[in-house]
Amino acid sequence: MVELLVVLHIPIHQLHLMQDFLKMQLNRILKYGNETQELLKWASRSGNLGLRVLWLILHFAVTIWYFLLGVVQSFESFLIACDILTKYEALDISKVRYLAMVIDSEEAQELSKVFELLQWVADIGVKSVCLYDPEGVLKKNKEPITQRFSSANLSEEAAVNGRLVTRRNLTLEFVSFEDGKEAVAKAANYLFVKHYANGTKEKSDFTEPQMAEALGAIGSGGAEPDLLLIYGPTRCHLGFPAWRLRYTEIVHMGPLKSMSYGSLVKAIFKYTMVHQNYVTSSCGTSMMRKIDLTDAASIVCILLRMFFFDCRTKVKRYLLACMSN
Amino acid sequence: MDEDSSSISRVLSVGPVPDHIAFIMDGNRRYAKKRNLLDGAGHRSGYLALMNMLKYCYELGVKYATIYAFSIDNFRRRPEEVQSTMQLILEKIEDLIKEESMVNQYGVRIYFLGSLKLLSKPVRLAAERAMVATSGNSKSVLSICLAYTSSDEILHAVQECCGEKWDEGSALESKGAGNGLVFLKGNENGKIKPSIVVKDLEKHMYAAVAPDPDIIIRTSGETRLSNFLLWQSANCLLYAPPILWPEIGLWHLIWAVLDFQRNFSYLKEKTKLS
Repeated sequence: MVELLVVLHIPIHQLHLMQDFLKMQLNRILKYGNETQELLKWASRSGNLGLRVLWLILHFAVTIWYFLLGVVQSFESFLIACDILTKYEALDISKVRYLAMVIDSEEAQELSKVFELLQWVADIGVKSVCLYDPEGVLKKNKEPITQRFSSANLSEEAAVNGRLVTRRNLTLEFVSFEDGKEAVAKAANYLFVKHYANGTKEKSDFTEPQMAEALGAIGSGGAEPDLLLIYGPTRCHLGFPAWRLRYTEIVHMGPLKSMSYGSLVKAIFKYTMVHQNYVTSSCGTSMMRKIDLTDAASIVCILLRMFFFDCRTKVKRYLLACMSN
Repeated sequence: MDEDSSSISRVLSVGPVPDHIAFIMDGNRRYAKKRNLLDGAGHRSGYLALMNMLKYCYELGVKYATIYAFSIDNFRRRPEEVQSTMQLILEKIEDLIKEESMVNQYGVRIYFLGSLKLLSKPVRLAAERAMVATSGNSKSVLSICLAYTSSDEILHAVQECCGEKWDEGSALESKGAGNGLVFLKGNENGKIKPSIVVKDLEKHMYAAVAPDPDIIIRTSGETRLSNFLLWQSANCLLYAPPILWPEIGLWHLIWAVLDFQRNFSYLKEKTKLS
């Protein structure tokens, strides 16, 4: 087996990526298996049998669709990570001044995944990241996470999955649910003390800058992120502070355990392209659609190349090597 | 079409049906450009699409619907465009109050959410008339966000809470029962008892007339919330189909509801935790 891989000239990091790709599909099958069980439980309640069967068929069709879409997307991520789909290399990271990531609290307990994700984000060139999980799991683990990405470790290199990576400096902010609604309540009390406490009622309404100042004063200030990536089972921001979410682009990346470098690069690339199109045209959506079609065409071309040309050549080489032995 | 939607509703009702769906109706102007229509025609097509979507929602059993009709940010558009949009809104509010409209057919109570004082007098009066005319309806609720942004809503709630606390404090002071805990006398610090809590703020939110939304649908593929229901969307499914608002149809709603049903137990668990 090792000879085969050596003769096929497959780099070690691509092997790891292939392994991750297969693990992801397995996780996907398990996830949809659990979801199907939930749906069956719901359908087993009383009611018209015909309607329940139709409902299950409808959901089954949706599950198949999402499964196939997931396989195509993870294959595309694999191609991006292997540097086969090269158009995403032209990423202008300066357009992402502040990146936020919402991570499901249960999944955030797996710190190794969080470290890996942050390493990818740093490798892409992002400098400032806001990490949010509703229950504050990441906040509780602030020390180890910050230490890993602080400036003291700038020159450290490590081999991760066969790729040599340099630990980079990241400015990290840790936010949880209490920095949302509770913080606004505290800011309201701050404003009350500041403007009403001398016993006279001020006539003018509070302004947005005053609110921002109040939030800063109670320790829940912070910039509005350009892009928010959700790592969780559902496209839902789980209570990210409302005051900082007004015009943020929100992208759902799927569960943390299915995260991939390729999908991260693609999401950031898409954001920079759409952001660019707000400057050049008013039809950002049609540009986004064109990118998706180009992606699909690229994948089909690569599949053709791989299965009808490269693989044939490589299999020939292997057979020749075996015959000469 | 009605038969289709009622049969689909019966099938979907096997699973959990969302209580509240919110819509960001994005893409009317792009639709008009795409079809080479006059400027206002996109919004008119959008209105027709809205009426269809509301009918599907109410037939499915969704009790609350909220729509983002006009943002405070939209006042920054060209004055002629703002004027013609306001004219259209006025016309459509009058249509809604009419006897034979969808509103009375489905027993819809209308609320207008936002800083209505920013609207011109005819629109503001029409909105107030619509709220009074439909106050007897109780089967469903339609919340129309006009001159609304979430940040303005939060500021308004904070302002109201501060005003309320000040009034409570003044009442206590005048009765002689105040003991310096509500107001600071002179420049003394640290004696204020923080008394505004999240529940007080939520009571004063414009959107307090309805429970938190279960699904927010934004058309035209944009992935921002654009200052809409930010406070209320903590455990809400966000759905962004890449079609323009006037192109939205029954199947997009069905897809959103199926997605909601697939994620129902997760979202319910998160709502309980928060």
